[in-house]
Amino acid sequence: MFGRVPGEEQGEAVKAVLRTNNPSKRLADPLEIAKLAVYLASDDSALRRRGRLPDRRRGHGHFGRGRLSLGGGKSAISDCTRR
Amino acid sequence: MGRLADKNILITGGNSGIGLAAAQEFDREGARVAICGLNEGSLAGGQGDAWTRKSRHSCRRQQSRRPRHDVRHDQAGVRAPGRLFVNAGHSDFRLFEEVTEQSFEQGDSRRFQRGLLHDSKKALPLLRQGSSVIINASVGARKGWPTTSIVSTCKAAVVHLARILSAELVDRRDSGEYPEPRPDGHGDVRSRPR
Repeated sequence: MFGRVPGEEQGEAVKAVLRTNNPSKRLADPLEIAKLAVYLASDDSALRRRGRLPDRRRGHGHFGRGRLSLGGGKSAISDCTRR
Repeated sequence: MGRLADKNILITGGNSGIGLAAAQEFDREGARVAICGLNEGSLAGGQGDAWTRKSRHSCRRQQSRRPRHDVRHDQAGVRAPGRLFVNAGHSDFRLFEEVTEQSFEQGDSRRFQRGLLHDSKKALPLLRQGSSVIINASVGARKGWPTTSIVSTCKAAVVHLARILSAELVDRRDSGEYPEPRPDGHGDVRSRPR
C-alpha cells in the first residue's frame, strides 16, 4: 500500500498514509471506538452477543459472526480487505 | 439513567488511549468501572488526568524482579464484573530489520502478555455467568502494512485468542435465566448478570 518509510518519523508517516487512504480521510478518535464498546457492553447488543457464541453442535467457535469493525470506509472500496 | 447503569466493568489497558476513553464512556453511561494498566503513575493518579485520579482501579503493581500486575476485585465495589473490556495496545512502527528484542518486549508484546493474557486470565474467574468479554483488536491483524511487523502480528494473536476464548467460554453463555448461586455465596439468584 505504501513504501518503506525510514527514520524516526515512521509512526507519523504510517499514520499519515492511513489517515488519507480511506474515504473519511481521517483516523478514528478513541472516543469513537469507546462508543462501540459501550454498545457491546450494553443490553442493546444482547442478541448480537448471543449470536457471537460458538455453536457447540459444529464443534468449534464462530467468532467471526460477532466481530464488528469500525473504519473510515476503506473496507467498502478495497478488494484486499475481503476475506 | 445510562445504558450501563449498575453494570460492573473491568478494563485492561484503561489508563490511556482507547481504554481510557472507554472507561470514561462506561462511567458516563452509569457503569461501575475498574481499570488496570501498565502505567502505575497514571493509575495512581499522580500523572493521570482528572478522570483517572477519581477512578477506582483494581490493579496494583507488585514489587518483584519483573514487575507485574495483579488484578484484584474489589476496591470500588466491582466485586464481580459482568463485562470485561480487554484492551491493550501500543503502536511502535519499525521496519522488521530494525526490530530489537528490547523494542519487542517494551512494545506490543509486553502489552499483549501482561494486559491481555495475564490480566484477562486473572479476571475470568471473577466474571459471573452470562458475562461479556469484549476484545479490542485492529484491522492490522488482516493487513500487511510495512513497519507493522510486531504491531500487526500481536493484533493477529489477539484476534485468534478471541476465537479460542469464545470456544472455551461457551458454557458461560447467557441463557436468559437467572445465574446459578455460586458455592462461595456471592451468587444472587434474584439478579441477572450485570
